[in-house]
Amino acid sequence: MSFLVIEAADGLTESGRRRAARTGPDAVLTRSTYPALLRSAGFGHVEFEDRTAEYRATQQAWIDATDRHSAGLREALGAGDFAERRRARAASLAAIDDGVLRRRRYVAMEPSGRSPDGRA
Amino acid sequence: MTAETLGRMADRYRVDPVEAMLATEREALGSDFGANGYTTRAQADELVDVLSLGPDRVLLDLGSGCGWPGIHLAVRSGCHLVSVDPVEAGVHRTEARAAVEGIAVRSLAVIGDGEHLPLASDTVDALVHADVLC
Repeated sequence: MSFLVIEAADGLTESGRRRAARTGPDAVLTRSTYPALLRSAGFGHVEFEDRTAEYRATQQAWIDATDRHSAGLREALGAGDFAERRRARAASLAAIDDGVLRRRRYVAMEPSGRSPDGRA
Repeated sequence: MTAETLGRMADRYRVDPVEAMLATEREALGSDFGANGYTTRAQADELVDVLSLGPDRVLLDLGSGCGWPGIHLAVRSGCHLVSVDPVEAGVHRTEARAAVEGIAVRSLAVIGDGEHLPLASDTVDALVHADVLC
């Protein structure tokens, strides 16, 4: 199994976690870490890579592209929705820059090499 | 999953992707599926090797949304694809895109979620999900 996920950074204060919740995706806060959750689900071999730099670059690319295509996007989405999406991406980018949000790629296998969700 | 969460997810499909939206996505991600996440084409391409995908493998894309990156992975690798998403509109978009890409014969898109997977045990070889848990 492999998945990419946006997380709140380690060691945030309560206000930092609230900011992660405000600026990150819906379920950005978890009660446990992903490695711990994966191990509790039976995955014995868990690897992860930090992909925050790419996450930042992609968020910036979304913002830049949104600005380039703003006229067509406003027409399709409506001015209010367009403005909210643009604002949310900018807030998320600032949170990435401030070390509040990060993105990781996880790869997990069962001890036998079989994924609990499949045969391999 | 609450009805509110499901409604918010379904709202993403309120507007069919127009050229401005697809152009924005192409520039940000390198895809044109109507996606709005952060998995770029380069990151998706990595997953072909990470998950050892090939024609003899069945991939489950959980929370498949509009079909990105599952369909791309199936096209690149030749694998069979099962896409699962709780939003009916997303499942329909995935089915339509699979047909456009010529992989409908080895692609199945169904409504469901991770808590209630509509699959028997031991039916897939690899699992991917991107920007789903958050």
